[in-house]
Amino acid sequence: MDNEDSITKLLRLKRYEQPPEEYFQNFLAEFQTRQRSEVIHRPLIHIAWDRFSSLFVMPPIPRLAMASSVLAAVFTAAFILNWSDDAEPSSLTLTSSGAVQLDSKNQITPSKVGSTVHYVLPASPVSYASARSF
Amino acid sequence: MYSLRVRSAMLPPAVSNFLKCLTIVTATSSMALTLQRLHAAEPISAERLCSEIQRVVEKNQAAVVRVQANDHLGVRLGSGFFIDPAGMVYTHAGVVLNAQEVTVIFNDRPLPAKVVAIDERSGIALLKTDCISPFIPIGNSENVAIATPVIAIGFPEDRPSSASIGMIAGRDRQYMGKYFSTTHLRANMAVSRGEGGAPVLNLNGEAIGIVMARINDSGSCHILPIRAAEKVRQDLVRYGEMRHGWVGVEVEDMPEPVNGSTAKITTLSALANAMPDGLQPGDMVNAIGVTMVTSSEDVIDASYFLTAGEVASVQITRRGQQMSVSVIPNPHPLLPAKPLHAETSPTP
Repeated sequence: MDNEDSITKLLRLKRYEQPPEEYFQNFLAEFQTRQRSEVIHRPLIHIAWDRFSSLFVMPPIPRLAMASSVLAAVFTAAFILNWSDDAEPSSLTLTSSGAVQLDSKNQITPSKVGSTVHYVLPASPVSYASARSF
Repeated sequence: MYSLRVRSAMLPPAVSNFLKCLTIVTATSSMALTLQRLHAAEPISAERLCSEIQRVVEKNQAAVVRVQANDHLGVRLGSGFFIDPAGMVYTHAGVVLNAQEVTVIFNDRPLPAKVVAIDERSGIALLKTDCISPFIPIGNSENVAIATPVIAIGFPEDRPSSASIGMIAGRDRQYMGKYFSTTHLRANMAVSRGEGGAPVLNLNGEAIGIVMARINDSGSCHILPIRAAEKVRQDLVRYGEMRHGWVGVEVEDMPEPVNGSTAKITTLSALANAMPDGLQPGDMVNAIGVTMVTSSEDVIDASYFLTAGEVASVQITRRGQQMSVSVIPNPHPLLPAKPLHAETSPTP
């Protein structure tokens, strides 16, 4: 019972207890200082992540325009790849003896895997080690 | 005029006729000389030079062919050209050496070709096709001066017939320390792989050489003089076979020339020794056939044009006395220091 009375007195006392006046005067300034400090002294990885994420922020493009651009890029790439393949001479046929036949433009290319074409022009004429004799 | 008539009338008829002839000859010669000087004085414009080059290329391009040879390693491609209307072709020996099948592409049409001869000494081959062909006339490669413009027509790599222009830069007997079988022309002319065997033309449209090799990547090439190729063909025509001659004499240079030559005979083969009153060690060689010899290197050309079985005259100095010795060369042993092979570049 005594214990209950003492607690009641303590609560009544605490209800009227107030912090000093300076506390409320500096509260806002200290809060802002702490907040600024939190922003400035962020971990490096958080800053990097924020910057990396900002790269993927898309401008406001309509979805239809975006889809058209992607489609055009795909078609262009496919056209370039096909054109490169067609530029290779491929108009030769292989005879039964393994020879290659020319097309009308005289273009030469191996007509099968393993059949190599060598263009002849040596690095030096025929020579002899000793020529001071007859 | 009156006095001339009077004088002519006074002279005997024979003398008068002689004087008339002399006057006509003198007048004609003067006119010819004047015309020649006028022609020589005419400046050669760039347009005229270009049109001359175009004319030579257009006239001879049809006679240039691609030569294709097949063997177990693949396909070899080079260039060649017709030298007569019966389908005879000069090409590079490296194209057709050890080939199982040889084809000449003429007017975009493959024609089977027979290998008539492969000369490993000069590096050329003669082919024969059964067709009526345009041909390139043979020129004179002996009088080709330095800085003479020349044109090569060949088939570079997989491209169609192409022409290159350059100029004769010099005459070489050796390259990288190895002697050629005969003196080659060196031209500042860029040729590509596949142009081995291509004709080299002068501005008269005559073949003066055959492209044999390119000199690294310097834009120059070595050309076999057409006279050397014709030696092979003449042997074939006359004897039915190649007949490179060989006396069997080794020479070296002496420090001091004797009668204008430093080439001294050092050794003789057994065959050369067997000739009575023949050459002897110690003889100084002044000329072989029509080729003058001033140093040991001069015997290269003289040796190339010797023909086995044909008497050749050798001018020598023996003990201070000049004399002529006749020799009959034997067939050349034909032992090249390295086997003839083509520089190849497999296509990817």
